[in-house]
Amino acid sequence: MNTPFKLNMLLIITVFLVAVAVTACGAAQPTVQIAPTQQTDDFVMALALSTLDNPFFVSMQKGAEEAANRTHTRLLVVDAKDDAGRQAKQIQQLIEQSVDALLVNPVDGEAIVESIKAANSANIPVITLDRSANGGKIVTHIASDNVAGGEMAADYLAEILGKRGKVVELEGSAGTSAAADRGAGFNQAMLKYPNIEIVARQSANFNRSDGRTVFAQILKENPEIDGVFAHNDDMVLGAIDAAKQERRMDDIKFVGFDAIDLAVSALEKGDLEATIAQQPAEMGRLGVEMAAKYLHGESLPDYIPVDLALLTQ
Amino acid sequence: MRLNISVAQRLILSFSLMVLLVLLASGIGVWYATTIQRAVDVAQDGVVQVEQVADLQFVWSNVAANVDNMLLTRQVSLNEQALTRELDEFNRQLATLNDNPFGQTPQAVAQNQQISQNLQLLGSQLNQVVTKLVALAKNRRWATAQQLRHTELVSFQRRFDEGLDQLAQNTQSEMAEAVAQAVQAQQRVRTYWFITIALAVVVGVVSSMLSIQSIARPVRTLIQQAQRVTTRDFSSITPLTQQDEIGELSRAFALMTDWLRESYQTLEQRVFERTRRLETVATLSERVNAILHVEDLLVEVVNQTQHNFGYYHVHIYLIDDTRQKLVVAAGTGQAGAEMTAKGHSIAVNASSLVARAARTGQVVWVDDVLETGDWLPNPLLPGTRSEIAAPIVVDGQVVGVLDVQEDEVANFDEGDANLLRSLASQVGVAVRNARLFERVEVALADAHRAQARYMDQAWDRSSIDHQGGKSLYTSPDAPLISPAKQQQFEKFSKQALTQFEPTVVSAEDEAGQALLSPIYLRDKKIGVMQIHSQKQTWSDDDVAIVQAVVDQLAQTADNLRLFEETRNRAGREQTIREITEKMRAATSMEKLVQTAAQELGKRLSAGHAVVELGVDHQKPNSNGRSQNNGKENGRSDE
Repeated sequence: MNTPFKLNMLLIITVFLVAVAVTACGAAQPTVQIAPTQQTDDFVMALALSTLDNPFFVSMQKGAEEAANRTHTRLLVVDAKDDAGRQAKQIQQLIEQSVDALLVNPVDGEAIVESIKAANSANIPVITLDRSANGGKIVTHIASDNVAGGEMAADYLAEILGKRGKVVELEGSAGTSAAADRGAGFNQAMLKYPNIEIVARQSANFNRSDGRTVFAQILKENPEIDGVFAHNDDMVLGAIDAAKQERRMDDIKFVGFDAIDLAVSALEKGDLEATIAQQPAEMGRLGVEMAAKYLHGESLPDYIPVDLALLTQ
Repeated sequence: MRLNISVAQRLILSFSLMVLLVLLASGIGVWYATTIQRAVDVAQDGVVQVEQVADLQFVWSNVAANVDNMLLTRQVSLNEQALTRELDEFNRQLATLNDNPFGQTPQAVAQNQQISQNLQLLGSQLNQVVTKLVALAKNRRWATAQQLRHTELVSFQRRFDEGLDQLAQNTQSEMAEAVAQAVQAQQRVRTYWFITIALAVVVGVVSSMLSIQSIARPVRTLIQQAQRVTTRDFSSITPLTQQDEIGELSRAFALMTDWLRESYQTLEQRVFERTRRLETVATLSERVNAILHVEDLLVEVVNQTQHNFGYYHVHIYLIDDTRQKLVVAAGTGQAGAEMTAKGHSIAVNASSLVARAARTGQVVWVDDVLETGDWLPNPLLPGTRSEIAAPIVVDGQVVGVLDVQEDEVANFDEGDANLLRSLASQVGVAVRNARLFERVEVALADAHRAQARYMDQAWDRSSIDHQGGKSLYTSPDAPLISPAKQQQFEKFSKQALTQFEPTVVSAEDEAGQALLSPIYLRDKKIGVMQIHSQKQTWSDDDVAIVQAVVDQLAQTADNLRLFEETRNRAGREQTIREITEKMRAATSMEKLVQTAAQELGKRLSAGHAVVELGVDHQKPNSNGRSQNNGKENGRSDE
């Protein structure tokens, strides 16, 4: 009597243990696995700028630094002072420091190619800002659409001139993509206005003194000038200086590019009719953010445009 | 495979398996419901979150639109009011979003909270920028305001949208994850349920088959075996070897059948034994009843009993007339013969098994005589070890004892006791019958003798032999009867009286032979017959005819005598009646006396008849009561 009873109890207990185990297995359903949080590692990035003499690039640097703070990135900034050779050396040093990513604002689109190739061979991703490079493997190019900017400037100038008159184009440094694109856009748009004549087209090397000198010369040569478009604000401010000196401000409408603080002030004073605003700070931010995304494995488009805006009085 | 577990354990196992399956199915159902519930919860929360994000985006668009409107219209005051309202709404929405972080896991919540905090930061910066913008607008610094709008505000907008997108994406991916889990759970549940159903079917089929195999089949076998037993087929049953209740039942059943078979065989043997004994007793009774002499009967009984049942020794004692002793009346073998010859006896009050049976009238049955106090050893029967003494009872009285002995201890059984009891009572009946017969025989002999005596007297009285009781027939061609012949007849008659049956004798003086025969009426010779013939021999037929005729003659003669007697008696009765009638006709005493005397004298042809009445008895009677002189009181008959 005793033994079968024990055996029965053993049997029942075993079966119920198995039951509980099975039920527990069912209940212990694997929990939802969320991808690990994007705890941003401390990346080290380098920003190689063409020059910090230009406030445009200062804005770019500030934007980049702000984004670096947000994304826990250490940002090294170097200034080439518009010297391509110096920039090449700086980049060489940054490659030796094994930075995680390289943000480059080339002095010269052609000269920078060798440096980019060196970075490529060191497996350091390269992003170009504002100005493009002519070769090498680039992750993405972040810049304003300078062609569109040129078109915008042309359309506004034509509008305030009543689509007729004589116009001067002060070009940027030869060989820079900005100068080429802005000129191309401007001239392309001007084709739509047959009564507007471009009486002079001359480079002023993107700086104010050249702009003053060049435009002073153009004033002497052209007694009738209705409008001026300069590829940047420095040049247009130089041109305004020259016009003031010749007391021909009232006849001439000036349109610049870049919307630097002095230009905005000139707008507010009424010296300048309009300027095309770029977003240099946004370019710097985007540079750092896109590099971080790339380093996290996201793929990026070849070209990331940054909006332009027409600032008027 | 054979499960060495009991039927109860098997049932428990099946039940437990069923419970397990039910628990399994229930567990799967509960888990499924939980998963679906979680997915629904996630979806609801996600919808709320996405709504919040959408609301925030909408409010943000309103803010941007107000800024743009202000820059476009250059109208500050109205736009500022709207902008303030929109900004408040924006801040409120942002706070709501921040207060309700969405996420299923701590990591997801943390991530979303991080995004939300970034948005919060952007929001505060946005407020500053908008304030700055409004201030610029109030100062009519439209260009700077435009620049601020197109640089700072656009960047904020981009980053804000990115944050919101990420939040929405996270929410959507979590919702998608939850839905995917629900779908996966559904598929898994389907699979589990299929497995459970399959398991249930398999378990059901297997357990049914096992049950049939392990319970129904042996039970069927048991039923067949039991049915075999009900038809009295007790051939040995092979028990099942399984170690459960049915196995135990089967083994017990096999043992029971074996026991039943043995009992049945023993019983049959005993019935056969008993029947044989009863037959023997019946046969013996028949034979014994045919024997009418007690001594022969007892000898037959002891011999047949010993012969038929193979006892060591059998003998019968009879109680003598004094009822003090038991005397051996018959016994088997040498010992029996010796004891009978010597008249071996035992006192009724002696210490003996036989005497006890006679005293008590009960069967005495002793399995071991040496163990019994009142056993009386007999030197002629040294082998006796067990003994049965059965009293022979006639008309309620013990007349003897049937004593049977065996040379082995406890060699008798109930059958023997019953047999001997029955035999003893048969012997009792037979003894009574035999004694009755003997008594009847004696009585019959007495009756015969009395009858013979009576007939002698009757025939002696009869006058047949004196009055024409003799007849002679003579053939016409026979010679005349000479005086010598007459003498010879007389001589033959005397000779015939001495004989008992017809006898043929030779006549002395003539050829041929004479047949002499006494005439018997019952045992009494009442006459003789002699027939003389010329022929030399008498055939048996002739003798038989003579015999028969003589018998008929005697019978008829007796009848005639009886008839004569009867007629005489009738005549007497007639006379008495007539006289009585005449006497009754008398009117006076004198006439009566006269009639009586007259009639009696007339009827009896007497010369005188005297009738006297009133005689004095005291006076000596000198004349007698009647005299034949025919005178009485002066009255006489002429």
